[in-house]
Amino acid sequence: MPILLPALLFSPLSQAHQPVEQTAENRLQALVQLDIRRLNIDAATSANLPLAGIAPLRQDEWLYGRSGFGVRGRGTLYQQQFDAEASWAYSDQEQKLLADHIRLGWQMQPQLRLDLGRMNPLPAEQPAAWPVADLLMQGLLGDDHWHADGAMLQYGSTAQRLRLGAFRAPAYRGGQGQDAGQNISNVALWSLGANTTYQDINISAGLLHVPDLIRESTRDNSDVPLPHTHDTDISACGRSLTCVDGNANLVWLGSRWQPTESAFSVAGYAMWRQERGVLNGVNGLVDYQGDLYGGLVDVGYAWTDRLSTTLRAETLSIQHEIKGLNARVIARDAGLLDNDVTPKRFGVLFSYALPVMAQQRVTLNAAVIEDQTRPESELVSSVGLVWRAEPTLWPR
Amino acid sequence: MQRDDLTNRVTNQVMNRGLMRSTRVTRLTLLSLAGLLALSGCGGSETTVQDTNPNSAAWQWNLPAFFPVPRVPDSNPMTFEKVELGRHLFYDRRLSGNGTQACASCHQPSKAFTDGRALAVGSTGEVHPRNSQSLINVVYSPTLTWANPSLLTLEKQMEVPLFADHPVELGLTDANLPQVIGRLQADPIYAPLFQQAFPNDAQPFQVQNIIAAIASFQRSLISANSKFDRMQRQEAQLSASEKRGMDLFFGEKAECFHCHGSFNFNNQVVHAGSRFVETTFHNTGLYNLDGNGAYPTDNRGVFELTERLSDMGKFRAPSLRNVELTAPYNHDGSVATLEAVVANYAAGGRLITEGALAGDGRTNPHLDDLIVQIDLSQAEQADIVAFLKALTDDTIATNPRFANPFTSPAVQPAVTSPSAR
Repeated sequence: MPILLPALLFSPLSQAHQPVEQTAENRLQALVQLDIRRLNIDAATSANLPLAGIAPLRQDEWLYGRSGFGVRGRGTLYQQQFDAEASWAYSDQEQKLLADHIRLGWQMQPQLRLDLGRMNPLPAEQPAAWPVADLLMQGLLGDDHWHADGAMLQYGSTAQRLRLGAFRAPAYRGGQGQDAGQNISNVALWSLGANTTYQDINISAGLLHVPDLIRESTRDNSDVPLPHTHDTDISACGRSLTCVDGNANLVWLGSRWQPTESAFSVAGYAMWRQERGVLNGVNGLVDYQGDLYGGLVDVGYAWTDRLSTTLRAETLSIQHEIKGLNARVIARDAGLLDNDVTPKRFGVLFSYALPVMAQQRVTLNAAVIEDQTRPESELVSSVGLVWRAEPTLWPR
Repeated sequence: MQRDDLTNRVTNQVMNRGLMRSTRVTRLTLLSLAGLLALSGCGGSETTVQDTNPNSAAWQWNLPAFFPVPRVPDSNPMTFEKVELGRHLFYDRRLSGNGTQACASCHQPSKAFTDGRALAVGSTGEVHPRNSQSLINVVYSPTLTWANPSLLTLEKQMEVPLFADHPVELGLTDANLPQVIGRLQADPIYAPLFQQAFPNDAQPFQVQNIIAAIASFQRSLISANSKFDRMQRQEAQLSASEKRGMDLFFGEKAECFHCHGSFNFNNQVVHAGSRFVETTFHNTGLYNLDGNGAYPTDNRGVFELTERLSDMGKFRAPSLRNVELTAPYNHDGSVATLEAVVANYAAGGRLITEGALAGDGRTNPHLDDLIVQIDLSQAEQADIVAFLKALTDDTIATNPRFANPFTSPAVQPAVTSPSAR
């Protein structure tokens, strides 16, 4: 689950935080966020989508993900500008506190910047955080937060920026950074992104390439319990595990219209992920092509400075093509055979920001979502509270 | 009042701020979003499977979605004609040296192609040291018989029941083979069957063709219509007890699946897509005659071939499909009921307190690591048994493709009463 920075970056309640564009003043800030949601939902997990190696999301009655703490600082050393961030946040999926973003940024030139450390490898804007993970991230990661260890070079201004990133395994699920000979490659994920702003419109695009993908894909969407295996390493692929073995590419597009003089805002996101290779299973080896398409639209309206409503529609299209001897059995083993639902969600989110002290923000939110990710749709409702504080520790 | 205020405020905001903006920008944004959504794929989800066709004009497997394509030797491809000939031969007791026994004598459809005896009895009355094994889904077995890692094909295995002299099964010998083949040639039903099955042979009445035809028939004995299978096809539901038993079977407590976890409920499986075939054998702690792990001298498992002490008492884990029909159990038929089998595994081996076979199998030094004491209540054991009974395919006995083609008692297989055990 998410973590502090993405919530700060992409929360519909605030788009204020952009680490690259911080004030030029040297400073040290604490970051604290408490994010509590109570879900009213029948199932303890999200739908088990027929996606290779993507587990369903936990949907406990109470969720605390995105809650966490950290520090962020900016300073000058040898006449060079640096900034750094270290944050930890609770993961609902893993049910523990995780090191989220541990990042050191070097502003090499006014338009050239290098970030090293743990960060979001997707070089484009993502949808705002909602009480439950959006379908795009759920389909991509089985999670709604993405962080990876690596480096990202950025060039340009706020209005136009290029990003080039290289990340180590496991930057992407199954991105092993290994070839067939098990030689470790330094780069498990390459990313290239750009964004441009014209008037009130921001458009961003990202391309990701995973050169060596090996990911377990195990059926667990059947009535028959899945026996456990003691072979969890990818070396067991083909022996006791069924795995996707190949490569992956992702195209991501985001567009946001948020005029300063209008109460309306519109944001749209689309993605296309392709995975190519083989399914290597206990019942054989077959050719595999997987395509995951996703789209999400947010339409927001700010009734007042504090009260806003956002309508969201999102969908996934999951397509697999499996060819070869025993393809049907292997597709079933991999949990990809039963694929007759096109996941959709439609929701409305109400947010109300309480008037509080400076450097703090408290928001109450309520959401109702019609979830059509299972053969029978269900209604999910949520109420939540987000308290975020960014007190300045230095200078006083 | 408040609602009116809010409405007015919203209206003013829309009028004054939203719609006053350039509509060109809005159109541009909406167009880009429409493009994004179009890229997101408006089509539905779909899995397209192109399975290499395992069927041909010569043979169709009719497999369920969860069964892999069987592996068949290139030297003996499946054909309808061979299977039909094999079916006749399988049920024909003229195939035995003394004309009293057929393959079906020890492999009866009503018992999932076993014989209901503890120990098989050959055509001369000689008792085999081991229990007849089911032939259902035998096409998926990489090794054959209870404890022979080197017996890999049905064609090779069939030489044992045909020609073995210790113990004698069907009792063919070089001396009586011409007579046996002569019996078949004398029956007009066989001439066209052999001709169609082996059209390229000028003289198809050969023992190798007999073996090939019976092996083809055995490979056709595929069962996938148990209640468990129908549940997987959404055609049936397990009872509460069966469901509990299934959860125990596949769960962390009983862990039966370690040796019986494949689609065929065993752990030795081979098929056309196999690349790694494991042929493991297990000592399940049935005996411990001398405290050092000894098994009865006529039944010591893989040890009899390798003479390695570590192979003492190692036998193949059989498929549990149709296990309800294959009593009595274990390699020597020494366990009468499924309930007793499950109780032995729950105890981590069998304790025999008296008699020549007395000993504590639980402390057998060669006991498989997977055999440990499991704290299963009587109710849980009963649930496992209930699940095992859900693996019974009732259509085996009535499937015309498996059935005895003969109506004449002269060629019916001799079936000895189970009381003769």
